[in-house]
Amino acid sequence: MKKILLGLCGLFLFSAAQAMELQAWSGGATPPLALKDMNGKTHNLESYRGKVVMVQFWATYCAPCLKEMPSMMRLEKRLAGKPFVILAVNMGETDKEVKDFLKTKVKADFTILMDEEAKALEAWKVFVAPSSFLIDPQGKVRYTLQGGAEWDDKEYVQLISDLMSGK
Amino acid sequence: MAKRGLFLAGVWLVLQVWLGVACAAPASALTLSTGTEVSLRTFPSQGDTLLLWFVCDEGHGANEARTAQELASRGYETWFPDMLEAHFLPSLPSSLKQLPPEEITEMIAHAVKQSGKKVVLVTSGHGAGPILKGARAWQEQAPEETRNALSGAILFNPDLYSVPPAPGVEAQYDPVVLQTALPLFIFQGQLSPGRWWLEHLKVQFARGGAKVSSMVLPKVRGHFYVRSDATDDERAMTQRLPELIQDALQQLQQPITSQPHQNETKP
Repeated sequence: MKKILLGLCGLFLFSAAQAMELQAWSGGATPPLALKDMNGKTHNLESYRGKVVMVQFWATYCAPCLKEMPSMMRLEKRLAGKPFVILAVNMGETDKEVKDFLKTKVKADFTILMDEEAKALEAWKVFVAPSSFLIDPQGKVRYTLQGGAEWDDKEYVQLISDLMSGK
Repeated sequence: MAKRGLFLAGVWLVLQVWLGVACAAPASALTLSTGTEVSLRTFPSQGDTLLLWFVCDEGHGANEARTAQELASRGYETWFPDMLEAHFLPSLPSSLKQLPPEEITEMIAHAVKQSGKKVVLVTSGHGAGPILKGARAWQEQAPEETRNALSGAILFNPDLYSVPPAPGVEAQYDPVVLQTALPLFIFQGQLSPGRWWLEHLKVQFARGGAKVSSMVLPKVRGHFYVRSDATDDERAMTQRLPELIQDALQQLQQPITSQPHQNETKP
């Protein structure tokens, strides 16, 4: 009986963990972000004004990150030609670790930024992988999400479209 | 026929090995003043230190048991109170945060009194909060002559946020972080975002007067020794648990310095 009860509790907790939603941003000003990509080119968040930016913090060891990456690629494809960009910030790993991951696990085609000393992670106060931030065209963080998501679900696409149109 | 005999002998041998592991520690039950009945698995040893280890896998996880057996051979006794089962909680790291601190206090008192040894607490993740609260309450009520019996805590990947941290917002720690006056040793998996907040946590602990040492464990995630999907690196690190804990115990016994959080041990 105890085992059945424990199982039911576990099932409840698992279900609760699935129900993660975008949260309205409750931090202060948008933290700075200026990092190099895999080719050594520096990306500064400020230069993306006018676009909706999804800043996502991820790590190669994070299973939900691996799971959601294909949906991020589909999202970027779906919004191709529109003012939307993904900047996926790796959390403190080495160039080799990330390159090996991209060769063997997921062939991500969005921009991956390297944060080897975890300075951006500290500035953006990231405690969980993945953590995502949606930034409006004025450069203000509007929403956050901790944990994985299917980013090409219509609710996310709609919300990003709303942000692009200034809502 | 000979093959069948060999097969049966093999089965018998496997059973003996399995039973040898499973029965190595005598189990007993303890009824706390709250009415909670806690089963207690013990790995006795002759040394003067007792590890009171609060686990998240029903108290008889194979990896913890193997570690306790090895530590017993090195002179360290280990007790596993099965607090989760006593409260019908699932065997998940997150369940540990639901342990009543007053029951931890009573377990510490029981361990100190029954063993007469120096007691070191061990736990992981969300267990850190209730265990440290229980420890603090014990320190407040313990008679002067036994107060030093609680000689520290070893925390694996401690999660001590008072509320789940939101992205972009300053983390809030449980007040017990600033109230802990115990020698602490923190093991943090390298493959965990918590690794980047370890120094931050240590500074908070040090502000409260705790002597904190730590070690980042390379190539492992949090809760590595209870993971069903453990990698080769995590399995190898699990094999090293006795040695890691023994090292941590030795560091906990070093005298308190004026800069307690300087004892960082690199991987």
